[in-house]
Amino acid sequence: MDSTIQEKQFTQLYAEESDSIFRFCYFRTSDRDVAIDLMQETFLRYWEVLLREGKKVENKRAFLFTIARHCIIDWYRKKKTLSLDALVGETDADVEVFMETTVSRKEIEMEHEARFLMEKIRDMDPLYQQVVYLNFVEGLAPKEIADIVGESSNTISVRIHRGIKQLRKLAGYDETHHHEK
Amino acid sequence: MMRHTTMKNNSLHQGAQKIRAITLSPKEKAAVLARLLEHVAQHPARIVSPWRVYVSQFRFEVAMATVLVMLVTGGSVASAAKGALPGDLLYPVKISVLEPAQGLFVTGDVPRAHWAALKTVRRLEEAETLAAQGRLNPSVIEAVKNNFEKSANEFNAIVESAQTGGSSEQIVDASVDFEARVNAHAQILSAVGQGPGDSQTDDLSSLRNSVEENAHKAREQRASATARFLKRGEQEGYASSTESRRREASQTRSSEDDRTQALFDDRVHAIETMITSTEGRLHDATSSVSTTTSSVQEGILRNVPETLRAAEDALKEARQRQDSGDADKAYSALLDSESAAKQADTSLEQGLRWGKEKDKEKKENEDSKQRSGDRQRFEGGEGD
Repeated sequence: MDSTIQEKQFTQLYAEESDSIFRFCYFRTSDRDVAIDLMQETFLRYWEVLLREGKKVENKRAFLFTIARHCIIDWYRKKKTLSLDALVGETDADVEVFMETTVSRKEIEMEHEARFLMEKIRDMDPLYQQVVYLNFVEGLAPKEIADIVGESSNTISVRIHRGIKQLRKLAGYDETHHHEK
Repeated sequence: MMRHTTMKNNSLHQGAQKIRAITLSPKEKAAVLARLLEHVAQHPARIVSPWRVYVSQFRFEVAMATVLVMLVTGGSVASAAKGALPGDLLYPVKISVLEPAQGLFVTGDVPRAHWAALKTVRRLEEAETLAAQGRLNPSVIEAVKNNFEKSANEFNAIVESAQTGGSSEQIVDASVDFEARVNAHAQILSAVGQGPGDSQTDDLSSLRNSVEENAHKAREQRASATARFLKRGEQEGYASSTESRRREASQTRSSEDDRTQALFDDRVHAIETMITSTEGRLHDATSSVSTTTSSVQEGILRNVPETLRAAEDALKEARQRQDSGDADKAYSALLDSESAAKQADTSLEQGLRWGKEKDKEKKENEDSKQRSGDRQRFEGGEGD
C-alpha cells in the first residue's frame, strides 16, 4: 500500500479515536497530562506495529484500546519501579488491580453527572472497573473487550453483568435496596 | 417507584454521555497530531519480510521448531503421517514428531488444555475409524489406550494446575468441552462393543473401561471447576442472595437488567441453535434409508435424541433458575445443557462418519470380490 494512503488512514483513525483513547487513559491514570502522553504513545505504537510491521487487524478500535491498556500498564510499572519490587513477575492484570489502589487523582473539569459516574466506576471492584467503563461508556462489545484484556467473552460477559449490578448499587440505584427501605 | 428508578437509570446513562463529552481541546489534538506526523515522516511505513517478523517474535528454540515443522509438514511424508492410523507405518511420526512439534507453539493454560483435549479425542476417533474398518487388534487397542490415557492425564494435570487459586471461566468452558466429547466417545465405544459377531469388539473392553473411567473423571472435574469458579465469585463478594434477586426479578427490569439478561439469553440461544441443528441433521440422516448401514451406527445414533432431551431439560432448568434469581444454579444448569448438546453433536458426527467408513469398507470388499471373480473367469477361460 502506498505510504501516503497509509498516512491518510492513520490521520483519519486519529481524528476518530484520539478522544476515546485519551478518555480511557485519563480514566485509568486520573491525570490529564499523562493521559495525553499515553494517547500519543498509543498511536505511535499503532504506527510501529500495524504499519511498519505490516500487521493486519480487523478491529482497529479494539486494537487501539489494547495498545492503550499496555501503555498504561507500562507507565505504571515505570512509575512504581522502586516500590513495586513485589510485583516483579506479576501479570498485567495483577498490576492493574494494584494500580487502582495507589494512583492519585487529579480531576479535570467535567460536568456533575460525568464526575459522579466516573467516581462510582472507580469505586467498584478493580476486576469490573475497566470492563464496565469500556462497555457502558465507550460502547465496546464483550467480544471486543475480551480481545483487549485477554479473557474469554463469557468471562467478560459475567464481569459486565456483575459490574453493572455493583455500579447501580454504589450509585444508590439498587431497586432492592429501595424496597427494603 | 418505577418512575423513580427510570429517572435514576436515565441519570446513569446521562453520566456516560457526559463522560463521552470529555475530549481533548482542538489545540491539544492538533499538537499531538503534529508530533505523530513528524514521527511518521521520519519512520515511513515499509514492507518488511515476514521471516524477519516471525523470527524476531519467537525464542530461538521455537524458531528451530518452526523450521522443523515446516520441513516436515511441507513434505509428502508429513501429509501422509497426518492421516495415519494406529498400526500404520507413519503413525509413530504423527504422534512422536508432528504432534509434539505442534505442541511447542501452544502456550498458556487454556490453549494447552484445549490442545491436550484435542489429542485425547483424536485417539478415540482413530480407534473408532479402525473399528469401523474392522482393523482393530489387541496390540493396536493397547497402543490407543496408552496414548489416550497419556493425553487425558495431560489435560487433567493442566486443568488442575490452572485452578490453583480459583478456576477461570475459560477453564470451566474447556472442561465442559472435554467432558462432552469424552462422554460421547464412551457412548460410541459402548455401541461398538454391542456389535454382533465381531471378534474385535471383545478386545475393546479395556479401552472402553478406560474411556468410561475418564468420562466419569471429566464430569467430576467439570463440576469441581464450576464450583471453584462460582466460589471465586462469592469470595469477591458479589454473589447476591437468592431472596434479593427474586425480589429484583419481580420488578420491572431496567435497561442494565435487560442488558445482563441479554447476555444469559445469548448463551441460551447458542445452545438452542446447537440442539436444533443437531436435531435437523439427525432427522435428515435417519430419514435417509441408505445412511444407516450397520447396527453399530444405529446404536450410536439412537443415543442422540436422548442426549438432546437431556440438554433441553437442563436448559429449561437454567431458565427457571435464572427467573427465580438463582444465578449460580442457572449457570451450572446452563453448562449441563451445553455439555449434553455438544455430546449429542459429537455422537451424531461420529455416527455418520461410522456409516461412511462402513460404506467404504463395503465398497472395498465388493471391489475385491469383483476382482477375484474376474480373475477366476479369466483363469477359467484360459483353461478352456
